[in-house]
Amino acid sequence: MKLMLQMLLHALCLFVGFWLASEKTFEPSEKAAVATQQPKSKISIEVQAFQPPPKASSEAGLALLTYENWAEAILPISQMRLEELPAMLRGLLRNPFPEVRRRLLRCLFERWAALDLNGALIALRGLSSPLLKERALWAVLDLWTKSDTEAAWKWVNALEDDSVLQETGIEHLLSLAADKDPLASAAWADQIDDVFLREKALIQIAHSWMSNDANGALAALTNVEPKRLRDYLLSKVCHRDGVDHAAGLEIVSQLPTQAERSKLSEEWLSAYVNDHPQDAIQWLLDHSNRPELQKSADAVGGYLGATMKNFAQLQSYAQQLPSGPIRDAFAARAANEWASAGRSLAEAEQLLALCGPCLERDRARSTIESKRSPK
Amino acid sequence: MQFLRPLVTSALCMALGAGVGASVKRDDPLPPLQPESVKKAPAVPHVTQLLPKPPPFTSVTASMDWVRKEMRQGNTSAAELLFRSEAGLTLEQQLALAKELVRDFRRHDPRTLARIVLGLPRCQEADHLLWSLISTWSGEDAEGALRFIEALPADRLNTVGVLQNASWGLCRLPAERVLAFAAQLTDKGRSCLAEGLTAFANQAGSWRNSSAILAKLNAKPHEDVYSAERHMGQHLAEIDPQAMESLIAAETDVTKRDEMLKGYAWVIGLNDPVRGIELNGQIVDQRDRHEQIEHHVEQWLTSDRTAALSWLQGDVPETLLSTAERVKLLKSYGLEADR
Repeated sequence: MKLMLQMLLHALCLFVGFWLASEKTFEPSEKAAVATQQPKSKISIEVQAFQPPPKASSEAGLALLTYENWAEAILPISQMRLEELPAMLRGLLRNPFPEVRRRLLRCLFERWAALDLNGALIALRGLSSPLLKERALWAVLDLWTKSDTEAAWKWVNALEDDSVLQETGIEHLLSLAADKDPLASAAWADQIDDVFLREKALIQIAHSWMSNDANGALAALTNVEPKRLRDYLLSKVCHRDGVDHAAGLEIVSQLPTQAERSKLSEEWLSAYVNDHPQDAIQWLLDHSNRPELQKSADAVGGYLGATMKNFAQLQSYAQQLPSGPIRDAFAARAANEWASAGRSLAEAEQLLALCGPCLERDRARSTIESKRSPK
Repeated sequence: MQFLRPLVTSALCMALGAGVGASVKRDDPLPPLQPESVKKAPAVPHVTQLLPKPPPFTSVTASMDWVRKEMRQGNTSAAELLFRSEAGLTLEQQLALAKELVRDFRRHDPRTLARIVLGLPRCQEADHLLWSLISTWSGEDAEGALRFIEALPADRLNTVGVLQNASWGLCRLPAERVLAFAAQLTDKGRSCLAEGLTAFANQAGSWRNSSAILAKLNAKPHEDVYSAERHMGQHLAEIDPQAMESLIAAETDVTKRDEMLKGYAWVIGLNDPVRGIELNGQIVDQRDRHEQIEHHVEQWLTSDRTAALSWLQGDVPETLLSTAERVKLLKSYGLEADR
């Protein structure tokens, strides 16, 4: 009995000792507070952070795509059923990235137009953003004109209540037609009464033509009508890759007025020197007897003054030009840019010494003076 | 003594129990947090700990690489983390980063970029960034850009930089929406908006829409703003000179007529300098007239010196160019006026 009592006493002591030491482990009130606050919020955030993202091909997924992964939606959209497209459009319109919206909208409306042209047209007119409406229309027209260009024109012409959408439609249709026959499109565009729409249409045709065949556009320049299209092409085709600058300058040299020759030679030589500096300066040296090249010499001198490292070579170019307006323009602008680039002011002065008195020299001198350190 | 042994063994048992209890407590896999730590660590700082910390700034390229990496992992607000105060960037570094982010517009939510740009200290470069952002944004999402500029403070909103750049998108929005916005603009702001809408008339939107806005905008030429009339003069000189000459002839407001002439004469004069100078000669305001003609003659001298000098040495009426100005221009070429 005594032994039993002793065992019970020791067991009790063991329990009391255990309870005293581990008391806080089971403290009810604080633990409850902790459990409901921090660990829970931590877990919920982690759960949120590591939740698998919705599929790119779902409404929620489209809303979450970024520029980094938008392309994942292209294939699913191109295979979607018609009844899925409205939800996709809703998701896309919730996407915060304009670039993603713009790119995927095109895919979505290509699909929509392929499945249900009228539905696509109704849907695009319901868009509130003018830019998205424009892109959706382009996608639809690209497809529609493959089967029925006339109907596409008719639909666009009827858009009287939305002049912005109507004009972008007309420009796009003309641009598509220009892929096949730019001159016929231009003749059509030239009949448009609204001068600003006519201008935009001609510019679209010019861009379409230059993108497809820059040297072809250049070769056709002498016969291009209307004159406004010719003028635009003449001033822009020089900036296209692979265009023959020497051939373009030859066309420019045939223009009737000195002012036109001067303005367009400047444009062409600016593009030429930017692409092929050696060829451009050589061309200028070879044609330096032409008075209309004064402004062009200024442009070439400016480019070389800003980019050349070899001063002796630059000076030599200036010396090879005949004295007078062309050499003055070249040397003064080269000196101006040489000084502006932080190079030797003494060398800039040497270039300037090759100039006669003129406005260009006054301007270059002013730049050089502004670069001198204050005493 | 006979009670001493049970007491000692009982104490030992209690100590043993305490030891076991303590060890159980240490081994608890989910240690309880102290109440103080809950109070000191509220939910927001805890979330902050989960956000990635940008690496210390070494270069714009490295920071941009980090942003792209984070965005690929779904952290779409990574760019903003670069600008938190604890990142410790200098103003120069902030401007360089913001510039790169705005240039990389297509990868970002424009509202994020807007918060970054507006968070920069106000300076000329920050203003230029804001204008650049508005220009791109309005072309991609005109309504979104409009909502953003509507919330700008008046001194930032009523500027050429904001309103001209926003016009690239505004000219595509419905006239009534743009006019509702224009109601909050000052006289200068309306003038800036008119200028922007006219400047883009041959590039975006539709003239029918833009002219509907302009008709109710009640904008007047403002001394700090390139006028809508001047832009119109330039446009029509290229694409419909006869229509422009009719507009000039019909305009009864002298200031507007002068502005039309400035734009029209400049473009006409590039192809026909003498005609350009004659048109400039019709400008009523004497100071404006002389400024325009002087500018014109300088352009002529730098493109066709021989013809321009010949004109300057001829019988130039005083109403077109003052003798003093003529003498000054000729002197630049080492020449003297004949009379």
